[in-house]
Amino acid sequence: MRKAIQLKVILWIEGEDEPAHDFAASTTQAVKEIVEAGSAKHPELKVTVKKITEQSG
Amino acid sequence: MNGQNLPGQPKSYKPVIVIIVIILLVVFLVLIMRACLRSRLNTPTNGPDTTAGGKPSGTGGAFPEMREKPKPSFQPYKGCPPEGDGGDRALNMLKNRVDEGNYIQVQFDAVEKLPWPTTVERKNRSSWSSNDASAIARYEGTPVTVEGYLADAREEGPETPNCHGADHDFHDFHIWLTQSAGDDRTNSIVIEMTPPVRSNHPNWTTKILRQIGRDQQRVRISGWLMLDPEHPDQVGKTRGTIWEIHPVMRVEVQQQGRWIPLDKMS
Repeated sequence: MRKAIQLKVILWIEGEDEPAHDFAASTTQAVKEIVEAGSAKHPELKVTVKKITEQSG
Repeated sequence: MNGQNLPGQPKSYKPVIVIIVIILLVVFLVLIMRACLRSRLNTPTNGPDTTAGGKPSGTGGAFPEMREKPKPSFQPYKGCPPEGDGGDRALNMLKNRVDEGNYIQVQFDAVEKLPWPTTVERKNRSSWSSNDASAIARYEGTPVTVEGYLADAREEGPETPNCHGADHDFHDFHIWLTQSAGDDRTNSIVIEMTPPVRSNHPNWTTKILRQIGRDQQRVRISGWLMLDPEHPDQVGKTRGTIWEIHPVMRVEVQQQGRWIPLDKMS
């Protein structure tokens, strides 16, 4: 049976960056790459990053 | 014929001259009235009076229209520029202003019922239509004072206007102002204390703000009216409007008939 699931994951990411540098853009790209790299460990699963948005107040 | 008056000529011109004089008088009066009204809206109020229970000037929930708004000013905050590190940079600049204003006291309803075009919701200012931008500009940037009660106060997390600073001193305080003591947040006005302003007010803490809320003490909030288009989904749930007082510049608490600055409370 083929199954699918849509997961919402909340990540807290910290790192050093220049004050005015776009941290949201660089971390969004980093998360895509992290997921892609991590999904190689599970070739039985097809993982697609559909949307990454910043959670703000 | 030159230089000679025809018989009856003065009689026929007299009514015309009288009408012209009357029209000029009316125009003159209208201009004077407009100038008076304009100066009334732009005249500093010298800040709210210090006695409690002063009646807000916005009668019937009407929001005063201030034609010329003060230009925001900024101060560098720990390396973070006023436009922040991304997102809607024009919005961030409004959030990060630090100038004081000549606050106009308005009724709670005047802010809570103030309309906005729904077409601006979840959109950066740079993509607003000129009509929408003009509609918002009629009210945004007005220095206001509003009275009410604090429903809750929370420290926010990292955000673009504060360059995603991870530490406490880079976070906004998100506060809910309600019209009556004990009201839930459904019809509240969100007011925000920002890091650059907070840095001058060490006594502004979420602990004290929550205590004031629990004690149901009446507060008087002064700051800049700003539209935050990012959270229309919260309207009717945890806020009554996307108009905010942001940043908050002054907080006063009613105690024994006097308004006491929050800075002087323990």
